[in-house]
Amino acid sequence: MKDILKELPELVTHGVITPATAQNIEAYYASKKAPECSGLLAVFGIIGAVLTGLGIILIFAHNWDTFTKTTKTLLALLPLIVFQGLTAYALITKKTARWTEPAGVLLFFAVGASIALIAQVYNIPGNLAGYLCTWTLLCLPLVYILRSNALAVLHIVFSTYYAFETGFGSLEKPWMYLFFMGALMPFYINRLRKYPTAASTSFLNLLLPVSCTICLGFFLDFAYKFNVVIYIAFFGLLYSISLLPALKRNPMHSGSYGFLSQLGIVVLLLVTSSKWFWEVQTGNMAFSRHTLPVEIIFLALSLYFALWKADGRKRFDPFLVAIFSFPVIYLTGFAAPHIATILTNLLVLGLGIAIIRNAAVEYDLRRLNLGLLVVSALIICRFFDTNMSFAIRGLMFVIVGLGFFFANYILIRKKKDHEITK
Amino acid sequence: MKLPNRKLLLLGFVLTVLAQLAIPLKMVYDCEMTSINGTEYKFRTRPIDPTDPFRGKYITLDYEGASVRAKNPAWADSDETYVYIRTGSDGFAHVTHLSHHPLDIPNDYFKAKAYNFYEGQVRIEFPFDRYYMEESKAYEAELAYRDYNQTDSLKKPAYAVVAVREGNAVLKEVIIDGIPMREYVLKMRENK
Repeated sequence: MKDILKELPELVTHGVITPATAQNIEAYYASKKAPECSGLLAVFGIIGAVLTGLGIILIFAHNWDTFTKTTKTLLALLPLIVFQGLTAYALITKKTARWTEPAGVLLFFAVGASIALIAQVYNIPGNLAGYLCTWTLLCLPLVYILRSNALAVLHIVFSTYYAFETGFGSLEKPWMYLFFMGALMPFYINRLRKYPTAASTSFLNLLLPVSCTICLGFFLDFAYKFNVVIYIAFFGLLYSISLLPALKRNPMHSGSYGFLSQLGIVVLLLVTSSKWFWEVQTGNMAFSRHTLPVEIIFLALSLYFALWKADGRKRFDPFLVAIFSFPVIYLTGFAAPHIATILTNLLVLGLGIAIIRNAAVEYDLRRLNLGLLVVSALIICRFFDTNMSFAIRGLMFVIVGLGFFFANYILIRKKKDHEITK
Repeated sequence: MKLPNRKLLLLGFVLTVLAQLAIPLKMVYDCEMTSINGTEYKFRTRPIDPTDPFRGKYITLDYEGASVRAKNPAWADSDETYVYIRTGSDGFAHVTHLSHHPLDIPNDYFKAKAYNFYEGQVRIEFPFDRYYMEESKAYEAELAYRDYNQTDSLKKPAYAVVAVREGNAVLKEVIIDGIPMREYVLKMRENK
């Protein structure tokens, strides 16, 4: 690119191109320049900054006895002031992401280090969750001020850490996590709109649903079986988000939401398809009044997003059917656990067959194998809780294995025939 | 979403920087005021050694006076309890009153969390139960204290020196056998 730009004056001088064309070429390459940090240098800068920041915290955590209280206090504030200055310099001189990203990351860790060291010097107790919460809150504005992806990633990671520290094995709910995620949404939506193909956007697409999947559990009551219903509705929401036109246009976007949600739904349905899930709890069906509104919100949002599909896909979607029929099966379980067990098995089987059918229509090998995997997993699971002779079990395995070969073979042939006729 | 203009960004940055500085400086100010102007109390204690991934090694202090008699079970799970103290005839601090609101009495007080009401006693989480130490010394301190506690000939109890002022409390030192814990650990190293 640089070579072309160097040649421009010569081309103008010799009349090959007009000055206006030269300007247009320059403008074109200027606009093409990645506005975000995409270069290796920036990535290494961020990695270096994360390691340096963590290193500073660890050096402080050693707790140097030889320093006086005043020295330690000044040392605590020194990196904070230095990196605030560095960030201010990058901001004022309008440096590129190669500068602002590492500077922001260093400042992020300097904030954590300074609070930690002051707490250490004065023996201030305070639990880890409170410390992480203050730290994350103090650095949240930097995500927007520096428009930094690295800080957005750190924000999600530390919010998740805070939620884990607060909610894991405890009755306390990490309410601030909701604020942290909500506060990041405008930044995230902006990234999705402006930089849909950037690797950093894809990384956020993966990190965000993973974080939400982890942290949802910290908001639920100890009604484990009802929590499964909520998690299926939550994965349903992720699934319907993956169908949204903004995400669906780019497979890299919908990929993480789609993959995570489908995996979650299949795994949870397989878990609930076993007899013990329904029958162990006979007469003691778990239900939480507090989290029922959460279930309703997830289902309502899923329905809203699923209907909002802009690509006009009219084909029957087995995952949506599974998401909305599971709460009905769960309610059936209150009265008749046996029927609920049978219905869940039929649901998983139906889900697998429907995926295979859709894959056959679309000539999609990936989805075909996903459908086969769902059916096989169901059969394998049933081997553990039903009394069948080893001969029959062996035979079933052989049939399923052969099914994989034949289904793939038939689909590949159909696909070839389809391409030829086209 | 339209991103804010440059002036707003710079203003936002200045405010963020000030907030980032204000939190540690306020921590320093509160602790210094309490350390300098607060009244010192001695609390009998037992230490154990855990780790914080960011703030380093510390010993948790288990205070003997942290269980207080209370008639009302409602004391359990009280996030803000006013704990009033005074020095007893044995030279150590004792809790005299617990209250949900400030009392008009001359005793010093600090704010703490009350929890676990059991058999007429409520546990108070003293807000000075962490004593940070140089990483190699924290575990040695715990071991030293265990050995010290098991030796019958030694009579001096371990205690924490805490400055208390207007609801704030700052842990200044932990004393074993009449000397600060850091020095005690060094003395033990020399004797080995």
